[in-house]
Amino acid sequence: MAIDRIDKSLLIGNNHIRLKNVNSTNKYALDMIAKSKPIEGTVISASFQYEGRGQIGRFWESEAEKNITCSTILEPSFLESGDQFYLNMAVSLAVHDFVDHFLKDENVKIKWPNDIYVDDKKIAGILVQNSLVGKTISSSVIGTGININQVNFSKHIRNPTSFAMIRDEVFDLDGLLPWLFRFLTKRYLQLKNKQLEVIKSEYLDLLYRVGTWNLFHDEHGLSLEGKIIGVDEIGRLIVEDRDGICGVYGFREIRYVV
Amino acid sequence: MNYKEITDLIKLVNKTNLSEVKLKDKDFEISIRTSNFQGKSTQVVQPNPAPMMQMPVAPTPAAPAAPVQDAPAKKESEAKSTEGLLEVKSPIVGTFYRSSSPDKPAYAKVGDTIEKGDTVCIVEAMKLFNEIESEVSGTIVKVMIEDAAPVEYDQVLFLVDPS
Repeated sequence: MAIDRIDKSLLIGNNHIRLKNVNSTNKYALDMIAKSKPIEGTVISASFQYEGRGQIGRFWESEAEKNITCSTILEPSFLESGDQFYLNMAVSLAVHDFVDHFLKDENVKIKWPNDIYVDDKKIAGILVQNSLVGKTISSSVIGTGININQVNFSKHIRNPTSFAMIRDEVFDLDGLLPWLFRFLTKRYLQLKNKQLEVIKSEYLDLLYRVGTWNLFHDEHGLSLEGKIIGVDEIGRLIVEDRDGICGVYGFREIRYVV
Repeated sequence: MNYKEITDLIKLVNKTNLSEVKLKDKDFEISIRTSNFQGKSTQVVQPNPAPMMQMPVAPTPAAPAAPVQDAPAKKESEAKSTEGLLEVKSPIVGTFYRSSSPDKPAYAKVGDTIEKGDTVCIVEAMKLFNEIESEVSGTIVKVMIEDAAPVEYDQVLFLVDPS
């Protein structure tokens, strides 16, 4: 499906709520779901998030009016709760596609499970918050933070980069957003059309440091040399060691040494 | 009794060492069981139709000694007490969290009344956060997993008393 041909069926971003300041676009989206029935594909974007969220207990730092910070409301009820890693792979691919589209010739990769890296630096992060009713994903909020025009970051943020740092120019945020919506729509439709193997194989091909020998730390801080050879059905990383033995690692059980 | 009075009463009962409180008034009846409840002792509090604040509730004994029981006997009574209870299970493999972040209160604790559709916890899987909505209504009787502990597919997270 060509990216310029899907505009008519555009689903994500048709309903776009632009906010100046908000605690967190994900929180705003979750509140909307709790109180009303927002249309699937609704996007909430903000110029500034004063409590931008990352993982549990972590923050997402973003200077006002410099970056893309938005949340997309989806209803992937066609997907079973246990298959949610496919949703993660699809949205990771979408953000990857977006970054890759504007930073052609750069080495854009997906750092497992869902960060976007250019070379060895982080340019975008994703925060997925689902609501599960038994085996069904009733709703999903996809938070996306992409560093665009910010060039100075706090010291405690490891390895950040941005469009402006790489290209040495200022980008037009309003012009960029529709492209993100297009890529999200494309990958979401791929997921909805059950092209799961396509999604998985593209995700694996684009994984940061896949198939090469690298150093990792396990959850106890011990070093291990291994090669990423895939992900299992629930998204755990499969890493082979020098003896040919494969280990399966969940999030927090292994991390890249960058 | 209005909703607030009921929730206040539940909170109050939870702070005590009581196992069960039943309250009857003309056309109204409420029964609250705590995790101490083992299907025996029943304490009935029968107030006059007076304001809630004056309701006589047994004072909290200072550091009450827990009843000493033989292990097998305890097991038996535990098995007995789970009869008729509903389970909230994890639909995925992941890590169980009782609140949305460390500084936030737990979504659901023992004694809380939950409705179908209420979020009771979060299960995180590969950095994806999943709010688990209860498919049952009732009172939380037991939280089966420690905060931040791993959970397996179909593992029981909460026991809920539907009555």
